[in-house]
Amino acid sequence: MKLPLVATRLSIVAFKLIVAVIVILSILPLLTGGIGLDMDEGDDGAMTLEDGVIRAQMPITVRNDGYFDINGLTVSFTFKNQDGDVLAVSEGIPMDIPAGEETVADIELALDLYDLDRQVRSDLIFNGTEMLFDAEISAKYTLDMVQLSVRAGSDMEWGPFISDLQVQEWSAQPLEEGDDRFVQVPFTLRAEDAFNGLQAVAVTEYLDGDGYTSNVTQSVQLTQDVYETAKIPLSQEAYGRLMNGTANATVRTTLYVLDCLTYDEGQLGMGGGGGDPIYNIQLQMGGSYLQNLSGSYLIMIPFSFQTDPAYQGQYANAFIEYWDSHGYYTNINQMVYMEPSGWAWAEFWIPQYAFDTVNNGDELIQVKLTMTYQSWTGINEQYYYEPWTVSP
Amino acid sequence: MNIGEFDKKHFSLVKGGLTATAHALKYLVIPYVLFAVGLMVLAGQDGPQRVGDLLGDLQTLVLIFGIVLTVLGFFKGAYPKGSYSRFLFGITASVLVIVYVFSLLLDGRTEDIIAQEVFELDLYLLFIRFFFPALLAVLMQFGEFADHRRQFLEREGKIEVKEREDPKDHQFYHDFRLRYGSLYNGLKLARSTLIGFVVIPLAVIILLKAGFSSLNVQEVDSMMSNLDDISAYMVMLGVPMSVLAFFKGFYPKGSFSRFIPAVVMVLIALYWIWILGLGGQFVFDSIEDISINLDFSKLLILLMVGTALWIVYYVLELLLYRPEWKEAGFPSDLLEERKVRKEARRKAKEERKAAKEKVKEEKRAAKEKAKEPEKEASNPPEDKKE
Repeated sequence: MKLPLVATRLSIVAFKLIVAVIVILSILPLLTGGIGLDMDEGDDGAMTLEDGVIRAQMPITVRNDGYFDINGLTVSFTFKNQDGDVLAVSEGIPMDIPAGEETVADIELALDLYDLDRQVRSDLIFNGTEMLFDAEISAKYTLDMVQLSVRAGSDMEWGPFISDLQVQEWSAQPLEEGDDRFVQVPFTLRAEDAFNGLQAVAVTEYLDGDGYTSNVTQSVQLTQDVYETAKIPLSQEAYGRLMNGTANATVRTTLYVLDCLTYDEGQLGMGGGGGDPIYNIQLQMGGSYLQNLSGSYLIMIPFSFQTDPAYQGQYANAFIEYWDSHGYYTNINQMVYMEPSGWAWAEFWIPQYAFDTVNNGDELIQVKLTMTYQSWTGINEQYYYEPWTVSP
Repeated sequence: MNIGEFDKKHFSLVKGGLTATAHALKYLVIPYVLFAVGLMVLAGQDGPQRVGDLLGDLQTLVLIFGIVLTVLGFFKGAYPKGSYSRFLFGITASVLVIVYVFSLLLDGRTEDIIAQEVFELDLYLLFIRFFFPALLAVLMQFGEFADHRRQFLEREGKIEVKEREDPKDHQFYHDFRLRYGSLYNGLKLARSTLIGFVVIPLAVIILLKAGFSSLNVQEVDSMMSNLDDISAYMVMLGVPMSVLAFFKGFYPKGSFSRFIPAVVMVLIALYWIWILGLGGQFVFDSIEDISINLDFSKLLILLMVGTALWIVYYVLELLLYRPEWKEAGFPSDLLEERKVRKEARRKAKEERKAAKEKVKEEKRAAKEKAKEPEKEASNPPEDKKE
């Protein structure tokens, strides 16, 4: 064979050998586990809220014992609603991991709440929602000649970040300050850690049967347990109607957070004579807790009610039922003393598997309170994402 | 048939021994050793008896067919190319190879035992893949006979030596004349192309599919369907490539009739690589909610660039071999003719060298002759001075 042909043939072989070596050097570390991602367990990123953006950071360790640099390693998330429409996209910052090095990188999951339309945002903050999200990890390898992207889809339950807004109208108190008349209505709510410190606005409105209205606006700093009182100014006439029991008044507290709102309202029953022996029956889920008494497990759920003066001093029957989302059910029946502002505890002794479900679980539970007095029956039922935790 | 071509005057023990050795290694020693190793491994691991029995039966078959093929190889190699004697032994051996491989299936027993021990593998399908190149190997014997018959008869003095073609009358399109071709070379290259681009890839795909099926996992269904698509492409591209390879091998180096199919083959090979490389995109989304996308198109293009360099090679081949082919009177590209041409070139080179040396010698002698009178003039003899 002629020399130029030999030289060309050798060049082709050499070229293909180089490509083959590149391919082998690329694949080898993947087969031998030289390249890998490690999630640091226990370093679960806490969520924070900043300028309407919910952020969670997770540190990951990227090991590159391969022969080539990993370039442009990017982790991004796409949030979608149940119909698959893209709600928000969170793009990570590209990182380079040189060959033979181990790099700890923070994966940031960022969800800009203002990217969501108001209804979705409102659901997310106040009711909690299930969002689909795609996580995508992409990187270039082998002198940027190979690009790998792994996409994993999942659904994720978010929130509610603010829950249990409750107007405690049964604890409302009239107030006279000189010539001024007020009614003080307490309200409570709970905020998740991510929303701690955020300023919200609460508007409490008073409306009576004669069409009289009044309101008060106040700033509320969100914490895990918020207890605030709205001091609503009233006219002399309205105050009089309220005190003699002819006001038929309603109180509504509306909470505004990140351009979204939620409200709760209650019927003010001062002055007596409403007809029902018991009213304002409320399960006080915010005060519920879980206990581990050396292997015996207990759920404590308080409830409150008000008794018409005509029936005070007698006993009513309270039947409280409990369900968890895994099908566990229990109930308890107890007698309660009918006080003007009654408060009682329901104690549920539960088996270990039911305890395991709710301990650290953020489970959706259902509680139903049925109060009966002679032929009268009153019901209050709540679905509740329990935050219960028992320290070992 | 001319019985005289079986005469011992045509017989070469050395050549026969070489071919017999090659046949013995290929059909007897290597398979026998492989089965023997299999038996040893099986004995060491206390493997199932039925596999041991199978390997024992296969060894017996290897011994029988291997010895017969070695003997046939000896006679084939011993007789010269273009003779009826070589043709007869050659064609018998190549047909026997097909029977040999088919008998290794043991009427379905081999397949059954593989299915019981490993996974279900359609050995008959694999045999069909093997059959086509084996058929080409049979045709190669015809090709070799047809190619060398004339030279054989010329050597025997039974026909006149063909006259060389005048290069002046030759146009480039004359390169496609069938008389320049070698059937043997064409069939040989077509066969190796069919093996490399169709048979081996399809055999690998059959093995992969059998392996995947044995997993019984739904996630590999899409991959299996991909493999079916690739199989179809392998046949659709591999068969035309084999046809082109025939013409590339058929025509001699330096001819356009070889250059054109060679370049088209490279282009198809580029597409073949692209298809086999899944267009540089590997998508795996069979696992629920997880999809893996590997884009290695740049790496694949690099590999294709390496393959495309063969175009440069064939251009160079055309440029470098064409003058030589023309000078030799457009012969077909037979091994013997190449040897003759090479020998002629070597002799011509030696003659040119000798002529140059002679010219140099003569020049040197002439110079020395011219210097002698000058010397005599500058140093006159003493008697003359006086």
